[in-house]
Amino acid sequence: MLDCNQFLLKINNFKHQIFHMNNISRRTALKQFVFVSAGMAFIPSCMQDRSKSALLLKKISIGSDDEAMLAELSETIIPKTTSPGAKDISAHLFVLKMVDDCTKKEDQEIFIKGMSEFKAFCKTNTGKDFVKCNGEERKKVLTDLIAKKDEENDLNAFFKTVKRFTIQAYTSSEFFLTKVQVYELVPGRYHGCVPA
Amino acid sequence: MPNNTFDVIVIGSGISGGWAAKEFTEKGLKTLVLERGPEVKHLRDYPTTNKMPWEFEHRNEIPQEIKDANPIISKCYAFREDAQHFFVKDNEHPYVQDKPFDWIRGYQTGGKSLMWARQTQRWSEYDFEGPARDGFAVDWPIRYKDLAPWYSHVEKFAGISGNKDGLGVLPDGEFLPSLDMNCVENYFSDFVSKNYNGRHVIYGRCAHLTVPQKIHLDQGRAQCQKRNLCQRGCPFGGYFSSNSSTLPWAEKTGNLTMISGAVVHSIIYDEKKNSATGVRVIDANTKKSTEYFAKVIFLNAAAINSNLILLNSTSSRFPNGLGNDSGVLGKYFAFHNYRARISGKYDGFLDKTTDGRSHTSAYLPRFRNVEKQETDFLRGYAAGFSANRSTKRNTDGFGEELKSHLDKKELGPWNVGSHMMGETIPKETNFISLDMEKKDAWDMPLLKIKVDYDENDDKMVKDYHEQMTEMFTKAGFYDIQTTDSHQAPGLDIHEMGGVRMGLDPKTSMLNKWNQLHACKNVFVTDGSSMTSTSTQNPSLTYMALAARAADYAMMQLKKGEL
Repeated sequence: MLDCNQFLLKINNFKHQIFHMNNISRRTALKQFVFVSAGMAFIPSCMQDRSKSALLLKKISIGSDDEAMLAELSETIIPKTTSPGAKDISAHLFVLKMVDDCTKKEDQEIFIKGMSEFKAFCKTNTGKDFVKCNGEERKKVLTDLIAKKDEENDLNAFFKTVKRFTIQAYTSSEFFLTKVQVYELVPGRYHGCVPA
Repeated sequence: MPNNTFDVIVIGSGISGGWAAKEFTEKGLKTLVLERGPEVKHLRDYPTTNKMPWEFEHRNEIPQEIKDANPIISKCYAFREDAQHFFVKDNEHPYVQDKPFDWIRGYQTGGKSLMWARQTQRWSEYDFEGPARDGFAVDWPIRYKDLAPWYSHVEKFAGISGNKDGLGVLPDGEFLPSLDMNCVENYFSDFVSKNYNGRHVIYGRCAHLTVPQKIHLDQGRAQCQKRNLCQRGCPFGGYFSSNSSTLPWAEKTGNLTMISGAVVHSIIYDEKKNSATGVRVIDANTKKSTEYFAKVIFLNAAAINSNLILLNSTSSRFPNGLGNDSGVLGKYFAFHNYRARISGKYDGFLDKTTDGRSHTSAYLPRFRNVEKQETDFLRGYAAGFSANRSTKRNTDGFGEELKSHLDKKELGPWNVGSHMMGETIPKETNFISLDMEKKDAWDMPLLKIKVDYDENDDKMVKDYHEQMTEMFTKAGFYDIQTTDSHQAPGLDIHEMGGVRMGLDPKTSMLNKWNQLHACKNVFVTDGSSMTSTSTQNPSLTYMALAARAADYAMMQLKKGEL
C-alpha cells in the first residue's frame, strides 16, 4: 500500500505524462488514470475528495452532485465495516464506467431517468437529498425501495443497476480477491475431486 | 533480387504454417514465412497475460460501442477484454455474406494458434473412409495409417496430454499424462460405458505440457500452470502455439526469415516452367507490392484465405484460380455443427469439489453410424462434456448483511453441460468465391461466402438432443435444458475445404501429398485441404498434414522433382 505522498507523486507523474500526449492517447491515458484510482483498493484518505468528478464519461451526463449521491448510495449498499466499503474502492465510479461503456443506449436512458426518480423518491420519503440523509434515513430509503422491488419501473431498474455493479466492483476488487476470496493467477495445480 | 529468393515460402504463420516452417528450417532450407498481421512475439507481446481481474477496466467485458461496431467477432466466446487485441475486427477485413457466416480471424504471428481451444483429438480410420463408405464428397486419398506416424511426430513436439483410451474412433497418441476428471465427469464416464455399448466419455486430449519433456524444455517452454488464461498468450509456454513452439524453434536454426504485415495477393505462376515461381505481397501498411521467389510454396493462410489466394492467383493457364482445372476450388466448403447444447444439474458428490483450474474437459467421441449406417442422417457428432460445482452468492438486501453474504461463497449442485460437434457434409452448393466488384484495402477482391446448414444437420441436432437428454436423465441429472443456438456457420471456427484433397484431378485440387494436382510445387496443408470434416477438432490433423507434406516436398527437392 502506498502512503499519501507516494500516491500523489505517482499521480502527478502520470498527469505530467498525460499532458505531453496527443489528444487520442491522452483520452486513453486519462481513462487508465481514472482506473488506476478506481481500481486501487485502498486510496489514501487524503485523495478521496480529489478523486471525485475525475471520470470522463462519453455517453451519459452526470453532475458532480449526482456522483456524490451515487457514492453514498453505493456505500449504503456495501458499507465500510472492519473492511473497506464501496467508497474505499470507488465503486460508484465503476458503476458509472460500466453504465457509460457497457450498457445499451436505452438502458442508459432508463438509468438517468431512474436516477431522477430515485432522488425524488428520497425527497418524498425523508424530505432531504440522499447525501444529506443520515445512515438510518438512507437505510430506510433503501428498505422502502426494496419492498417494491418487483415493480418494473425506471426507479427499480436504476437501483438494480447500481447494486449489481457495486457488488461487481466489490467482489472483483483487489481487496476482495486478495483478502476475502483469493484469486490465484497461477494456481499450478488441478485436483478433480477434493472434499468440499 | 537475391534477397527475395528462398528455398521455401510459407504463407501464414498459424498452426499449420508454423509446422511447415519448423520442418523446413530444421533440415537447412532457407524459409520465408509471410504473415499478414503484426508481429506477436512470445512473452514480449502478451500485454494482458499477467493482469489480475481488477486490472481490466470493464472486468473483461467488451464495451457496447465495440460490440455494436463488431457484431461478428463479438459473438466469439474468446473475444473478451483480455484477448480482444488478438482478433480481427469486423471492419478491418470485410467480406460478403451471401448467407450468414461468422468468420472469426486472428491476423498476427501465430494466427489463431494463440487463442485456440487446444483440443487435439486424432481423426480415425472411420473419418478418412467416411466419404467413400457413405458416398459423399470424394474419397480421401489417404487413410489413417498414412497420417498416424505424423500425428506421433507432431504430438511429441507439441506436447499433448491425454489417456490411452483404446478407442477405434479416437486413436491413442503420444501422450503426456492427463489431468484427472472430476468426480461427476468420472461418474458420467462410468455410467455411460456401463449402460451404452460403444459409447465412451474420455478426458479431452489437449496441447498442454502437463509433464514437459526435454524436447519441450529445449523450446523454452515450461509446465502448464493451470491458469486457464491461454487466450492471452502463456508466459510459461504451457500450451502449444506457433509463437511459443514451432516459430522460435525455426528461428533458432538461422534459416527462418519472417515478414509481418505481408498480405499475400497471389501466387506467381510461370507458364513456361509449369510451376509457381513465387508470391506477390502487398505491404499491409504502405500497400507497396513486392515479389518473393522460392522453389516450393506452402499455402497455410487458414482455410478461407487460402481459398482467396488461390482464387486470386489467375493466369492465362489458370483463369479461374491456380490449380483450378476442375472448377472445384472454393466449393465443397464445410464446417462443424456447434448449434446444440444441453445443460442440467446433479446432486451427487455434494461433499466434493475441484481445486485449481483444469485446461480441458471430458469428451464423448462419435457413436452414431460408426460401424454402419443406422440413423436417418449421415455421419454423427462428438460431444464435449463438463461438470462444475456451482457456487452462489446471496445478493439480497443491502448493507452489512449483504456484505457478509458476499464474503461467503456457498456451493450449490453440480452444473453439467455438453455441446455438440457435428460433422457436416461438404456440398458443391456451399462455396466461397470472389466478388469482382468490391475490393478490400489491399486491392484484393472481397470474399463472398455462401455456406449453410442442411436437413442432415437439423436431424443431427435433434438426435443429439434426444440422446444426450436420455443419457443425462438416466444418469440422474435434472433441470435438463436443450438449446439450438441456430448460430451461423463459422462461429465453430472449424471452417474447412474448398481446396480439397482427392485421388482424381477432375474432382479435387490436391493429391495425397497436399500438392496441387496441376502445379506441383504448391502445397496447401491447412483447413482448406480437408475432404471431409470428421467430428474431431481439426488443428492436430492440419499440423500432421503440414509436417508430412513438408517431408515429402524435401524428398522431391532432393530428387530434383521440384
